[in-house]
Amino acid sequence: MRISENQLVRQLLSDIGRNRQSYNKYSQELSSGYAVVEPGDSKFSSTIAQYRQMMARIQGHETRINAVSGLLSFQDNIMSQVSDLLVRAKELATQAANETVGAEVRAQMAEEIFAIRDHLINLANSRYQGKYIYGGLDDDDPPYDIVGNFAVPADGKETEVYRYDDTAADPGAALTRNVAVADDVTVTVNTPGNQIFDNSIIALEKLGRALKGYSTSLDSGTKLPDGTERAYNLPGEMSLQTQAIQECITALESARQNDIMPERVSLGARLRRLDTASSLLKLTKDDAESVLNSLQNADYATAATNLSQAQVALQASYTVSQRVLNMNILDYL
Amino acid sequence: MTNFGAKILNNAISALKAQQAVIATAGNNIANVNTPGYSRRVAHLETQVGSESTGAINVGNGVRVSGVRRVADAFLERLLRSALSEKGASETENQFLQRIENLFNLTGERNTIGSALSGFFSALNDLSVNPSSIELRTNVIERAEDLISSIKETWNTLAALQTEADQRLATEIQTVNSLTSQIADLNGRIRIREAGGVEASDERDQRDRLMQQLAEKVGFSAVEVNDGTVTITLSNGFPLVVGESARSLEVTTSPSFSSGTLPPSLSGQILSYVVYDYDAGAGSAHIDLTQVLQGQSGTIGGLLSLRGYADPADTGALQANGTIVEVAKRVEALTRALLTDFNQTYLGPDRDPGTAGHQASSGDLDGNTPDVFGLFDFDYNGVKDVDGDFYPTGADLNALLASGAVDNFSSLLKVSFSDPRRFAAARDVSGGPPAAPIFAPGDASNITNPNNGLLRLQNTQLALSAGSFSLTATPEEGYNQLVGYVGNLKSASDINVAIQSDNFNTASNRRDEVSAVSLDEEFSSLIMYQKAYQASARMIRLADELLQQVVQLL
Repeated sequence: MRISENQLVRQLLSDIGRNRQSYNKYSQELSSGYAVVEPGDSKFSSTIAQYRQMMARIQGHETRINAVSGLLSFQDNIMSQVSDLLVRAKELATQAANETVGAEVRAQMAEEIFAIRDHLINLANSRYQGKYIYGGLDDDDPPYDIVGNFAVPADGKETEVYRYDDTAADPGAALTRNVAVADDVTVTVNTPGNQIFDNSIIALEKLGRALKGYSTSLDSGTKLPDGTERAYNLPGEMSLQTQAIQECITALESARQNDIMPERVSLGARLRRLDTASSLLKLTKDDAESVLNSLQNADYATAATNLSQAQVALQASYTVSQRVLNMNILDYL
Repeated sequence: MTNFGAKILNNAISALKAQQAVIATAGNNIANVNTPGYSRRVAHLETQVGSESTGAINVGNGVRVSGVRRVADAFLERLLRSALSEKGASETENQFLQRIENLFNLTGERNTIGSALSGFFSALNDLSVNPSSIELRTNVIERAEDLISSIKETWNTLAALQTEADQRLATEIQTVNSLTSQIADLNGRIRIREAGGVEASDERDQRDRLMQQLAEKVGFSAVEVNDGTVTITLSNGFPLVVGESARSLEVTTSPSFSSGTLPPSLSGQILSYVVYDYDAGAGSAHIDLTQVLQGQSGTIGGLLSLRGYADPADTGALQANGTIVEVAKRVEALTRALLTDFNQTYLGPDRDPGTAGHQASSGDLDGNTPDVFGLFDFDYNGVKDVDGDFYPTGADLNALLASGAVDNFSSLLKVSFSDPRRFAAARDVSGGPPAAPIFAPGDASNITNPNNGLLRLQNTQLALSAGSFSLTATPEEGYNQLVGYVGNLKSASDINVAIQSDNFNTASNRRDEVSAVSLDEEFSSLIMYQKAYQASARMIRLADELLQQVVQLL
């Protein structure tokens, strides 16, 4: 076989080029940390893209779990305060139910009950990130407003009627909102305020008014005053007043047991679901990460070994080229 | 009676001349050792035939150079040319594919359609926690903008690559024209010189070299005819060079064979056609060679298989074939899903796109139904402006899609509005007919509704289609399929480039094995013929001495 000069040079150059390429490839792998950067680098590029999306989804879910869990913890905190307020109101009512307590003292106690009521209204009108939590889907105005007055007395705290704002003008007050915190896991993030606070507020209003010496009648349909309220004739009607106070004790206890406690239990359950979802996500994330790692990331040990092999090959081809190209018949003639 | 003295002298002189000719040939070979396309020459020596009368003693008549021939093998040249063609095609395709593949980076560090899709869904999901939050609403709009800009960037890059391939095609055709005319010219010179019986070695070398250059541009078949000229034809038999005439090709965007309008390219221009103009621009007679060239190897074949060929009767950019168009179709299919499925879901389940002016059942933060096309809109500068009056005019998107009048929604796409309050996250809560919808500000059911909310689209199999491409998959799966498609093209092309480059090396080596200059050989022969030259010179002295001897006798 004839070997011409051209052939020699071409062969050497193409070998050097090939070794250069693999040297370059492994050094890039090592410096970037990725074995696969672009789709053509791997047979599994669409799988890699899929896992990238999965990771993005998981990260999104994680952020959301944090946001939702902040919101729910905030609500849990409110429920705990509400529960304390109701316990305090019940204590006061129990004290006042004793008929040795005179009408004047009862009237004084009424002030504290109204303070508790106002505090409760404030809690029911709580905002989280600027939005009212307990307004159902109508979260841009306070869920509890003064909607009217009792017929008697003419003025004062004891005439104020706070009710849940679920009129047609502010739609959505009775609805809840669900948030997807993982694939196939949704969590309800709010409870319409009337389901939680209505009974407590009515009981507190009634209690305050009873202590002040006024009867309270409600239209059972709308829970609004029906206009038949009147002042007790004290001391003659003290037993009527005491009876009203005792009804309020029962109502307060029932509100705490049937509205507040279940809500707290439900919040706790939802927070636990978030925890479960979060730890499941963590598992999926670890899985996805390890798959991505094996499909896409450079294996440093292998890449480093390959790099040094490629380096040796490249050096060898340089050495060979130098020797071969320096071989010349003229040196021997 | 033979005069041996004169014979010795004559033979020695013939030898001197012959050795000189061989040494000169070797010198020429050495001079051209690095000349591309040079085929080494060999001087052929033969014994001189004498004219002695019968019965005379024949000691021989010396030596003569019968000719200097180039050592070339037509078969090996053809092999080299076909390797060059394949190499040209595969390398061109690889260059473009590398740039296409850049658009689908897998590291997650660059904004791609895939990452933007995930980001958009994530922003929607985030908004469902607190739908009346302006910050989260702004985030949704921004992620939608991201999605659109990554789609646009991908599309526009594809369109730019198509245009670039189109422009390079024009340059390559010019090169082809210049090469074929030079080859035709050389054909003429070779025919004239070889009519005298002398091989036109230098011209043949040049012609082979030019044919190699032509082969890089386009694959062809070449046949040498008796008078030494080559005929070069394309695979459909169209002759590029016949004898001393070359047919020059033209690149045009207005060939007369079309009935008027030609289909647009991805960027809205017109893909050029390679034609042979029979009557040199006078009017009607064109042969469209574009499709033939697309099937050929060589740079031009590579460029055309990337850029694609559109039938003159086509109306849309996506009707063309070609790798770039195939990728663009898959991008466009995702865009169309945004315009159709996303918009329809966004407008709410009561929206009937077939009915003009039908009330949407989704509402924004201020309780208004969307008064535009949907969340995604497009700038269509044609007959009608879509904003606001698209549905009301009764012509719906499906009609526009079916008409094929717009093929590049991907480059026209935009978000309908920038005011975050206008994003419709709520659904009608009235429970009544959608004609009088009522919306709650804290409602996110347009996003979260488990049956038909926007988020459900993330896991819904949609009919993704554009042009001849169709796929039933979720939007993200659609993107993954696209990544896989581009990845397979690129890795196949990488392998092809390696194979073709090996083939080219092999073909070059085989050609050089026969035709290239070996310095070892030339120097050895130099020494050999130098010795022979010295010996012949010595013969002259010997003859001289013999004559001297005779003279002294007198």
